[in-house]
Amino acid sequence: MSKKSVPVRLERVTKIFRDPKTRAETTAVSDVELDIEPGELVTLLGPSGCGKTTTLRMIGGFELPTRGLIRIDGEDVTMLPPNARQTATVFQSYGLFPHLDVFENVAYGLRVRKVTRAEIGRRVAETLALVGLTELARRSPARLSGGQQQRVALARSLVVEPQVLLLDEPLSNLDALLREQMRVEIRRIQKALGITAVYVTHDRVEAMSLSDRVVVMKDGVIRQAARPSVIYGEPDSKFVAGFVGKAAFFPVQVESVEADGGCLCSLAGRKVRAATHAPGVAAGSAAVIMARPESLRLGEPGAGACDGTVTTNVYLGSSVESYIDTDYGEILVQVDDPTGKRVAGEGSRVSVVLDGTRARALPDRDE
Amino acid sequence: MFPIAFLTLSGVLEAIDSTFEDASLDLNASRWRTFTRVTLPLAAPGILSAWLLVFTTSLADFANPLLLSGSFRVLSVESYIEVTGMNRLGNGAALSILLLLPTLAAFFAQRAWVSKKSFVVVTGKPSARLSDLASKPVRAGIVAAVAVVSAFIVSLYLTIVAGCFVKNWGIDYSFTTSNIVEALQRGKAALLSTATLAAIATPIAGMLAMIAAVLVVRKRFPGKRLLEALMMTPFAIPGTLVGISFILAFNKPPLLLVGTGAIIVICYIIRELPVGLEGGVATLRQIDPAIEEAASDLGADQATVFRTVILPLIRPAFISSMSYTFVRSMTAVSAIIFLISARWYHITIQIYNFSENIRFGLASVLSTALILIVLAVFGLMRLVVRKSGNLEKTVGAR
Repeated sequence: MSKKSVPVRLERVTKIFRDPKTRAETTAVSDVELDIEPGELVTLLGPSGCGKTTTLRMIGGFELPTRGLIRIDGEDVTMLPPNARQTATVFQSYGLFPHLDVFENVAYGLRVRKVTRAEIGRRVAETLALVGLTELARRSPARLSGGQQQRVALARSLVVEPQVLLLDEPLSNLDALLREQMRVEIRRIQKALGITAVYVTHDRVEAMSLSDRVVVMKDGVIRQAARPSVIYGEPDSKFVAGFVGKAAFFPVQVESVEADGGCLCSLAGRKVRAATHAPGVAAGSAAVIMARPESLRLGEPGAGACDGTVTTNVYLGSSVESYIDTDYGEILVQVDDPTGKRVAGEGSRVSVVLDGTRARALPDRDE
Repeated sequence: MFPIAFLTLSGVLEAIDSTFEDASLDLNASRWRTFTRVTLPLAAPGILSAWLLVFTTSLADFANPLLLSGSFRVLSVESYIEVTGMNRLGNGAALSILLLLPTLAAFFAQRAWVSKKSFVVVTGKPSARLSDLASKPVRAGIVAAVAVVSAFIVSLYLTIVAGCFVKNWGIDYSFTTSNIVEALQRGKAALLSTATLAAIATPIAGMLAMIAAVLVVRKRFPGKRLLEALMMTPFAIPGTLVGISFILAFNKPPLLLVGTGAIIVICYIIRELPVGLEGGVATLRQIDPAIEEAASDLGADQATVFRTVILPLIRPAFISSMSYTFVRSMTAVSAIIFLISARWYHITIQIYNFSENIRFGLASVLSTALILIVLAVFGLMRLVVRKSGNLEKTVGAR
């Protein structure tokens, strides 16, 4: 079932909605530029209303951009209706045809393309096997579990061998365990088929675990697009840093920026050297040093970047989350592998020890 | 009027999540308090809607007062008498307008009020479980009251059937089957022409209503609201007014249709379009838009999506609305009474004539025939619709 993988390109794509009654204009997506490599799985991640679903729908043809261009395999598809594009969408509510059984649901796209009966039988069987639904071929969708319905929706989109697979929060209606399992499944299938895919979710764990690249969006704009490890370890803003993971922010004054990317800052009189800095951080500017909970340690009062009191310890099995009340607000410190270790109890005075080699300076802007 | 009120109210009550009442009981409210403070307010839009519907229908009712009201004068009957008896078309029209104003006002009030105040399903997964809102004695009392009313209604119908076998109900109770023979002989023509015209009108009305429903629900175009309002209005207008207006409208060439079968068919269609439209719109709204988007996404053009996805899903509603159309057309009185002619007679008018001439036996026979036809049509419909199963219009997450 291998076909050539294709790139997708979004050039200055904009979508403005106009309320027909009040005539008010809402800009849902603004000047989005994105280059998706063939065979890449890119996730659009962001809070509700950030424009990720609208962008996906424009790639699929369910919304037409107000401005901009969308190219699939170099071809301009911007104004084409969904049935003229080689995209296939897995909808959040699945959109299964209630009056057709599983087999006919999956076969629908092939029948529309006037594929021969024998060919339909072969391809549907193959795809059902791929998603593990062979025994349920003749069941009615209403009698399937949520996870099974989801897989039918996936199979229905895959069987037509689209150039681009679009997934609109496909797992949001499943329970946690099923979500984890399906995440792995979807990624495995996508990689095996080498199909270019765009995934939309507001769940950062989902985004980080299945993507080749994560595109963080807010208010219709792309804030940062990078590999998961880069987005997590080298975010460019407080918003992205906070959205893809838990983070502590220490307000600092930047003294100098060094050639290797490091950044010398002063934190309440102390000197701290952050290993990396984001664009927009310059000498003399106000900035914050971002540190992830797993890079922080607890020490004796006075030994670290700041002192505080332990308010709560949350035991998670493989780690303990220690909430410290400090002058900079509540800071979360993660203590890994706590068995056998003595973790500072609630109410004790501690200091938060910052490891500069794992810290990053970001511009002190809240948006 | 019972069915109208019952259908409206049962629909509303079914949609209320029983979790609300459970929550109230959980917080230690008494059953009475739960009923008055939770159930009733939530059902209020439905209750109001039912009341308005019954009000407008009663106002416009023609057949009942025609036969029963005697010297108690009712607007609908008066306008009929003015037109047919006194040949004062203008007066009849004027009286109908008087009737129109309150019914139209009530109709629009109902639509505006109810659509704004619908707060029945707010969150997540609705669950309509049966909850025990009434204690045993209260329930027994309610069941008893309902049983009495039901028995009364059933006995009314039984009387009709009984009247077939009796010389003349109320006058001569001797058993006979001659009424049946005579009535079927004399009423055959009317029965046939009524059924024929209804059968012609039904599929036309059904198709038009479905097409209109698809346009209303899925398309945006200028004048859409106007179209919807125009199609729904005949439902609000009293039948007598429709009949009179048809006479006035189709009285001169090139539209000289008075006295033909065509005018009756057109009348049926216009009066029944609203029912089909409402049903079609309600059903289409239940269909997850993602279903149509998915079909389109997989390569189907508009026509194919309609044929392979929408049509199968609205088939049950389509068949039900056609059954209702046929039945309502056959039992129509208030508009039809103005449009009948020697060639195209209507069975309900025939029944009325027999009653006026104190031949209740004959009237009973034709009425029973009508009842049987109605029951047969509904029975057939249930069979056909049940075959397609209780189709969920949307499968999967909401």
